[in-house]
Formats: sequence, structure tokens, C-alpha cells
Amino acid sequence: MIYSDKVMEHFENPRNVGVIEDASGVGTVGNPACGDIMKLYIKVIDEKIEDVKFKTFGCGAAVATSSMVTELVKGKTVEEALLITNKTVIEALDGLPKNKIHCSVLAEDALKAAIEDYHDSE
Amino acid sequence: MEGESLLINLDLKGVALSTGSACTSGSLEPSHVLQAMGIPHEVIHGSLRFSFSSMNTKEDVEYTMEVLPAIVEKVRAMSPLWEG
Repeated sequence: MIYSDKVMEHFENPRNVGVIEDASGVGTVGNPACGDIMKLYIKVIDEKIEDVKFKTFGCGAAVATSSMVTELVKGKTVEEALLITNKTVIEALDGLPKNKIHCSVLAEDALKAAIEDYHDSE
Repeated sequence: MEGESLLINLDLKGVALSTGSACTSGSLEPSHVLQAMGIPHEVIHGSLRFSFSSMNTKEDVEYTMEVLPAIVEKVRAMSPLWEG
């Protein structure tokens, strides 16, 4: 199996799937032509990410990286969340196959887009 | 829904299948046949290929049809493209 146990675990039991109706920020990345779309919702209270949800159209790795990134940011401050990169996600998942690395980059981009959206609407 | 996500879920239930055609199995590109048919990208990326041999049985098909709906619902529920 090319996916690590952690990737499979997040794929079979993804964390934080859903939407936040009154989100503080929403980040959407990817496009149908590539076969990957990630949408990340964050709820920020006093600069802390109190809640985070995601919706993803994509392969096993895409689901796992989105799920993992929500787990990594929940409860962190916005400043701490900005330090998360695709490498953080890859390490947390015990590695990704080379042709799936772009999924971790999408997760990082979705997070940064959501935070940017939050800052834009402040 | 995306093909690989469906495929892994089906594989976990013991159903073997593929995304894309056998002749292009080394490629990650979406099917040129489906593209030529004018099918939207997000639908092409969800396409699955079930191949049958003389060793498959009616029960195989019935089992697959039993497990498929729940898998489709699970993968759809995660998608930002599905209004639901």
C-alpha cells in the first residue's frame, strides 16, 4: 500500500468534515481540471482558531491532508497557524508518495487562503 | 466525487476496480474518451472502470451494488461540489 497508516486512518475517518455557516474566513483552492478542490472554513475568536471544517473533492491523499491540517490548526492562534507548511502536514502523516506531495501544498494553500480571507474581512 | 476516493473505499470493502482505462493505466491524465464526449472535468475525475472476466459472478455484482451507495454518500458528503 503506497499510503501510510496515518494517511489511511485520516482517509477512512476524516476529522472536521463540514461547513461553518458564519465562518470568520473561507479558503478555496484547486480546480476541477486537476481533480482536487479544497475548501477550508475557520472560526476565529480573539485571534484563536476555535473551529475549523473542510470539504474536499479529491484523492485519498487530498482527503488526508485536509483532515490533518484541520487537526493541526484547531485551537492554535492565527499566528501559530501561519507557521504550518506542507512539510508539517507531510510529517504529521508519516510521509506521502511523491506524486501526492501537491495535495499537502493544497492543504497549506487552503489554510493560508482562509486566514487571508479572515484578515480581509476584519 | 473523485475516482481514487471511491476506489480506495471500494477496495477496503473487497471490490477490485480501476479508474481510467487499462491502456492508459500509467497516466494520471483524465480519459481522453470522456473528454471528447464533452463530460465536465469534475465528473471525469470521478469515473470508475469495472472489468469483468469469466471468473466473476452475479453475486460479485450484487455485492458491489450493495456497498456502493453508502460509499457514494460518504464521499459526496465531503465534497464542496455537492449541494446535497
